[in-house]
Amino acid sequence: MDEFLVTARLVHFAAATLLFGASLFSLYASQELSKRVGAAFDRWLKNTLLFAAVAALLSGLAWWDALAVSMGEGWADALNVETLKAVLFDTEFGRVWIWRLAISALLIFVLLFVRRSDWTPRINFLVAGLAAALLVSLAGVGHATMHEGAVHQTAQAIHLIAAGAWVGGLVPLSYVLGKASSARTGTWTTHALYALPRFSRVGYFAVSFVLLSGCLIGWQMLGGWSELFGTLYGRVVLAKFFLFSLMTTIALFNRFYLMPRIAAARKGAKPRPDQLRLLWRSVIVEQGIALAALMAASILGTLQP
Amino acid sequence: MRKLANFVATLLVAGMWATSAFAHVTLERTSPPVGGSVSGSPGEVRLWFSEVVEPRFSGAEVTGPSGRVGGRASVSGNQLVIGLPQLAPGSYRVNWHVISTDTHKMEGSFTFEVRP
Repeated sequence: MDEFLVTARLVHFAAATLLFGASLFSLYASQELSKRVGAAFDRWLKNTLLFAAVAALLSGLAWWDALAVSMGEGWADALNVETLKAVLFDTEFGRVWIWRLAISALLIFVLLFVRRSDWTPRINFLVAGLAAALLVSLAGVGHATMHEGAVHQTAQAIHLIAAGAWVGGLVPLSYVLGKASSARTGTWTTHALYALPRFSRVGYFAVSFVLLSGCLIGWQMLGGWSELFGTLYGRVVLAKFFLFSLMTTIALFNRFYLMPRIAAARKGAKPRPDQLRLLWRSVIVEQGIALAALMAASILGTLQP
Repeated sequence: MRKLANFVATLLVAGMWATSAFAHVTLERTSPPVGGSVSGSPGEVRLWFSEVVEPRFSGAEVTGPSGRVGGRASVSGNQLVIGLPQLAPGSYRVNWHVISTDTHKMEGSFTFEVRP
């Protein structure tokens, strides 16, 4: 029962994170590029976003169904229309979820609509905005709703947006780096060199806000050091913090070791392919760790501190 | 930037103050009290929870020496009430289950005594 809910949450977190982070990446690290450099990326991006939007809708439906199972009488309620209706229309969760399902459907519609047309800044803004709404509204369900006042929910919203900008941005970044380290032509390298400092600037903000809001939420949920070490919830928080530290370490290595070398090479010759490839691999590893952190977040929501 | 810093500072301070509320529902008190006794039949059983609960998915039932008594529980806010008929003296058990707004299920039970 819990495995079903945790899986639905994981897929949903990953999809919403990718939708926001990737569409934001395109806004700050790709929109200004020339058509020749950007067209192939835009095509990949539109397909990836469409895939993520479908995943978000399906996992959103699964999440709803998993709650019908856990709130109702068990698996018998998985397809019970009455219970499903009650979860959607008679609970705090449902009041938020109706809107989130609608936003997911709208995203699919918009992305299908622009599939064969240009990925204009206006469309990019619209998609990034909808994705931000989808991500932020996750603060309207779950543990944050249990605390009076808006502090926990605000921190949760910041945490979601910051993590989305960072983790979701890694995916398009690694796509561009992958192309740049294998392509013979320089256009992908141009894109990579354009995107890297921009991603890194967004990354500073995102990582700081993830850490700050994460500590605040952890403190609110746990209330003390003994709970951090003594409860299952606390240990999962610790695991998440460890994964965060690992990601940050890799990010710092990328930023302060690899990036200067790649950027310096640009002035003289093309960047060395092996350094680009190393950066690409390192960003892929970062994504793997990020997925594990999302897994931890998926488990946390189902645990009682 | 300055505004942002102020906002973050406010959030942090507010967060430190707001540590008393933990994110799970607990049964705070009941009438009749948990394990207590009342003389004469109580008109109702009332449960107070620490947080608001979902009315559609929360409920309770009372069972006595001769089986189940009372009707469906009505829930509003953080309170759950079951109206009772005239109860014969004896021991009664209340089994309750609630869903909190963060979609977690909590359940429990307690007994009370009706004295003549």
